[in-house]
Amino acid sequence: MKKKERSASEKRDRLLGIVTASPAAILLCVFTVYPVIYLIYRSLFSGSLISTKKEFVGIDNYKEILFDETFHKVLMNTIIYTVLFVGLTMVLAIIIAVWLNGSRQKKLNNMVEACIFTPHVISMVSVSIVFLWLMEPDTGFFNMVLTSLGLDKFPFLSSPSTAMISLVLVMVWKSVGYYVLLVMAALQTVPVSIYEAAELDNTPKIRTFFKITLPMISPTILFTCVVASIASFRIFDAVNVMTQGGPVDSTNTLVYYIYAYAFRYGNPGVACAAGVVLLVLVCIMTYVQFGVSRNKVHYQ
Amino acid sequence: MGTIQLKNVKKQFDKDVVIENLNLDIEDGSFTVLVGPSGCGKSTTLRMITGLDDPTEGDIYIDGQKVNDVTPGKRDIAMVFQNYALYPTMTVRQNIAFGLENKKVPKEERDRRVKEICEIVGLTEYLDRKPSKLSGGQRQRVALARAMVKQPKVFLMDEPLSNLDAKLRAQMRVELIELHKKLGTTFVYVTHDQTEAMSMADTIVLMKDGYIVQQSSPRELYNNPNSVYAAQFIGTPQMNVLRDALPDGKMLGFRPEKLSFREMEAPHITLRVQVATKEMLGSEIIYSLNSKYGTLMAKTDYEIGGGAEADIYVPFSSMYLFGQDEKRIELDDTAREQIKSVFAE
Ligand SMILES: Nc1ncnc2c1ncn2[C@@H]1O[C@H](COP(=O)(O)OP(=O)(O)O)[C@@H](O)[C@H]1O
Ligand SMILES: [Mg+2]
Repeated sequence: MKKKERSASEKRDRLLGIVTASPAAILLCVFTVYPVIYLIYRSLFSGSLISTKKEFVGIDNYKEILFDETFHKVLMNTIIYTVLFVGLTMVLAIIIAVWLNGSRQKKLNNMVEACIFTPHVISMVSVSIVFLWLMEPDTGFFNMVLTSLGLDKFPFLSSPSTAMISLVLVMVWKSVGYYVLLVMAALQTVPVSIYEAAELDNTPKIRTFFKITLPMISPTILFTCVVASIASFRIFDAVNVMTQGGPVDSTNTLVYYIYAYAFRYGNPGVACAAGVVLLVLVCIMTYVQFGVSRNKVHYQ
Repeated sequence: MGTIQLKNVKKQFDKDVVIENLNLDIEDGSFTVLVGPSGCGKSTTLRMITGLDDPTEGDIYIDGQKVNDVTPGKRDIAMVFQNYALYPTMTVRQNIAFGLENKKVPKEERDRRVKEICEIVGLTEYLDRKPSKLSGGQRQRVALARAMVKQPKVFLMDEPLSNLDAKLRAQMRVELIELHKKLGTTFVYVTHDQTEAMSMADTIVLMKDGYIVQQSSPRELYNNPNSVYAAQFIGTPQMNVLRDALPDGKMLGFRPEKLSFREMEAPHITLRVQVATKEMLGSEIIYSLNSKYGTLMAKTDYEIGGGAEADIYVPFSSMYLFGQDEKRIELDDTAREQIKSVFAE
């Protein structure tokens, strides 16, 4: 008797679960699962974007990118970009957040916060255009400042050797404010009394930072690293507006390569194959980041 | 050695004056308890001794040396926080050793001292656990061990037992008393709990609104409170104070456990009362009694039914007389005569 009652209520709970979760599940299926499956499926065919004619070619598309030197370069670029971007952003975000968190000047804090957060809400295309203009090698504002200070001009986006770092700097400028906010939120969860205990233990400031602050906010750091890595693996708009992958492919990245294959060279099969590679890489990267840091991250 | 002195200390948070002018002497090797209702400035006082807060005015001396400009880490003190403030990311061992590492104590000595302390407080099995995997009592011990391992001149504790359940609290109380005996170091202990203060202290500093009401031994505080406030703070139920029985705003106090339902030889006064409520505690009974001068409390082994009328007897030897300003005044012969005549009516 009792058993029956419970199973009835269990059934009701399950039904409720299914009903409440289904809108999200349906959206997920339509906009995530289906495209991924179609991506993999389409990567096995040749044919152009406009015609409906396509031919099964097996793994030929994969072979093509595997032996494409541009693809190798693009992969390398993407990895370099990701490492530079995530490294710089995180270090800067942590430094700024710790500084803001420790400073007592409320007004100044709010101003700094607003300043560094503003770029985050401006559209990427506008930012790209503004920086394109600022970093213009001959007449741009940055080089005007440099020459007026008696320094050499910096080629920025016009030279293969400096284009990537210039791109990274623009992106860091644009996104660091967002990560500062995340890190600051984490810093505020560290109880003051722990810092006081450290003070009573006569702990030097630097040691307090590395032994207490950093471990305490490590879950947030890991999370932001993963999010930032995924975002930077998919960098596209800034590249498209500012460099179109140039000069000489020095800023060509994975997503731009995919875009170029699909819409410039009209070969969506290869683009899809590269997309699958991107998907796999992001999965591996995320998995590795979580795995490596499992023992280093402190969860409450 | 660990004497502590606060001289003319004032503490102000923004415009809020929390402590007006505090003078406090704490003897070396004493177990001093700062007690008072919450918000009276106990923690603030303790934090100024640690250096976590700076006094707005006045000087603080530890061991005869002025420490106003000495950082907390260099004051040779250790503190146990109310919420323990353990480092959550470190194991018990790392928590305890952290201060020693900062002091650059060599590894071998460090390990030896950590091990020693852990044996004393019974943590040896848990050395490699994180605080989140420990019970409240065990965390408390880690906090103690972390303080002890530094071998400080002074131990400061801010309500260290208030997060424990009653049974564990009683046990830790005994352990702390023993620890103090063994170490012989100065303990300064903050609590709002009068029972804790009475049972642990050799000196009680009773505080109110940022000033010291009375500083004395627990026995002295119980037997000779210097004001209505001190008299009523110690003891449960609190002392009966008849506020409008005597002329000139004088007040008469006597403890619930000192009045009697039995006729007595010693000089006394008599009051007619009616039993309002009766609360059995086992060995004793707490009565609340209606009298001409308001409600009185009694704590006695005498049995009497609820609603019954009776006479109660209060000996002069157990009476306290307070002036209009609530300060204690001497119960001299003229006062006795006055009281006698009032209660003879
Ligand atoms: N950091 C602070 N800023 C402002 N007011 C404070 C601060 N710390 C304590 N106070 C005030 O000082 C008074 C005494 O506080 P405290 O010393 O913590 O009392 P206790 O420990 O006796 O309960 C309280 O009124 C409290 O509101
Ligand atoms: Mg307090």
